[in-house]
Amino acid sequence: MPERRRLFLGIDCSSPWGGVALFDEVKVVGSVCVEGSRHHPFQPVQWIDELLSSLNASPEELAGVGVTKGPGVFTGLRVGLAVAKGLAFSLNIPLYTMTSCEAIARCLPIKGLICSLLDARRGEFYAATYRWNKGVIEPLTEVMLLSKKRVKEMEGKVLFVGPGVTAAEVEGVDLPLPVAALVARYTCDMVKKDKEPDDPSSVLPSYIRLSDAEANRGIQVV
Amino acid sequence: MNESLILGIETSCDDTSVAILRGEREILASVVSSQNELHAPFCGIVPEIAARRHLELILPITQQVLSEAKVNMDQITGIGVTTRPGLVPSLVVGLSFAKALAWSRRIPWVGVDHLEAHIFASFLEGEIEFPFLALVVSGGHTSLFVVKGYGELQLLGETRDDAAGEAFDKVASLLQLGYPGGPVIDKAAKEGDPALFELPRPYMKETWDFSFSGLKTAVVHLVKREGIKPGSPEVNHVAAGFQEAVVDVLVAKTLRAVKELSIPRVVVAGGVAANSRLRRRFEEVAKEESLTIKVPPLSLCGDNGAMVAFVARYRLEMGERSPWHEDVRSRTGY
Ligand SMILES: Nc1ncnc2c1ncn2[C@@H]1O[C@H](COP(=O)(O)OP(=O)(O)O)[C@@H](O)[C@H]1O
Repeated sequence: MPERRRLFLGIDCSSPWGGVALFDEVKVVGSVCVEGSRHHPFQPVQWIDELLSSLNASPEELAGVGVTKGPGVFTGLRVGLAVAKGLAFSLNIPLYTMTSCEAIARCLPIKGLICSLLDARRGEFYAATYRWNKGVIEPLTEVMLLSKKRVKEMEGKVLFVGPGVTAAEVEGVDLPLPVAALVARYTCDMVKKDKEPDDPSSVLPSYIRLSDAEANRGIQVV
Repeated sequence: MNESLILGIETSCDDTSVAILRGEREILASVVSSQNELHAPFCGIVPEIAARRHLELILPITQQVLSEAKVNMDQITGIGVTTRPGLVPSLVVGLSFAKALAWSRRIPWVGVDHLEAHIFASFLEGEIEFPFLALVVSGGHTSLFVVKGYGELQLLGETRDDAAGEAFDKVASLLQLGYPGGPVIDKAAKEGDPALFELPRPYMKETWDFSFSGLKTAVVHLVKREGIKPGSPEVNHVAAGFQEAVVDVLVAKTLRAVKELSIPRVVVAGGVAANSRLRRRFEEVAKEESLTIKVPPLSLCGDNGAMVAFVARYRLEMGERSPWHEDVRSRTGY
């Protein structure tokens, strides 16, 4: 009997471009990247089904699942995490999460300071700065919520990257990035290094922002 | 033949609920986690807060239900999940989670209409002969249906503005009785005289539709005119008067449908079916008019996963399957 393949799934529903990807311990063997809209919301389970079918793979071959946990579009974050939680629980496989800012920065393994930028709407942006050091990515800041003005002030000092670049009107890279593929490879790395996975029953999105109702009333529910 | 074991998932509004149903109507486990205390400071449901809590609870509650039922995922033969109507951010959590479970285990699954689930909640207590009339009164809906068979719903009328439960919630907020309004008005009304203050009955005799916003406005005027202070005994009289008006309208319209359509069977469903006065009046009417009126036990009135599992069971048995790209909808298909 041939040895069973071990596949690692990456899911990203945090930005206007969503996707899923599969990593087979060596390389990305398939990926889907779709632009979401009001009328075509993200359908990660459909994408996963199509991807595995095209590779003649079965759910049992999944050996780990990774997902971006935000910040980003609230509903998208929940779609990604709900699917990842469901898969991790049902298949009894490890779950790893990563902030969307880190996942974006990981797409650009280059020298210098990289600032991931996501559009938080209302003139604000989710941002975090990273630097590669001998093949390892280091966060230099927390994930922050910045005004457009604050983002502008950083221009020239960092390389902006991510789906917030155009809205922030700064120079940078705003292309659909292979975020899901990165998450899939990261998941494989984590499993191989035997890193402690996240607990699927308790892991939650990094929303950064409160709900509007809480923000407006100055109340925070727990 | 092996008996079916259906997992029912319901996250359409502010309650995270999961249940496991064996065969037609044996509830092996059912957990409903209410979020009332989260939304109370806002006197109404905040969709974003509700959706966040659903994601926190969906897996722990599923695990709890499986362990209480002593069932593992391998034994589940079908999954039902509410996909409409409801709050989109909330519905999305349950649907995404359900799809992941169904896909990974190759379990047949189907998206379920929340109103249909409320109506068939009564069947968990035993079958009712078709056709029957169904009055669905909840936080989001006030609708009258003719039900001709499993999944065969024909809408007669619905509210043109506020749902009955919504009216309870708004009036309770006005009287500063707390949230959710249904139970607190129910309680306050027990201490009040429903005939003390005169309130209108929006019978809308020319249609099967309902309207409760005028009644709510009448309560606002009454409270102003009489200078009724929160916490005063008059509050109980207002609560009683308001509740009586709502109940009068719901009962009268249902009875009119019974007579005009010659259908002597009625199912009352939804969160407001928990109202003690409404239950009492329908009980009395059933006796007086020799009707079969079924009001589910309190545990099945509000949102719950068991009613979703019940509908999923017959839909799956009829061969229905939902596609992976199935989406949620804020409105019912009926
Ligand atoms: N005893 C009661 N009397 C009147 N209304 C009630 C009572 N108990 C609950 N409700 C109302 O039921 C509604 C919730 O019902 P539910 O079926 O959970 O709503 P939905 O299906 O629309 O989410 C709320 O508006 C609440 O105030």
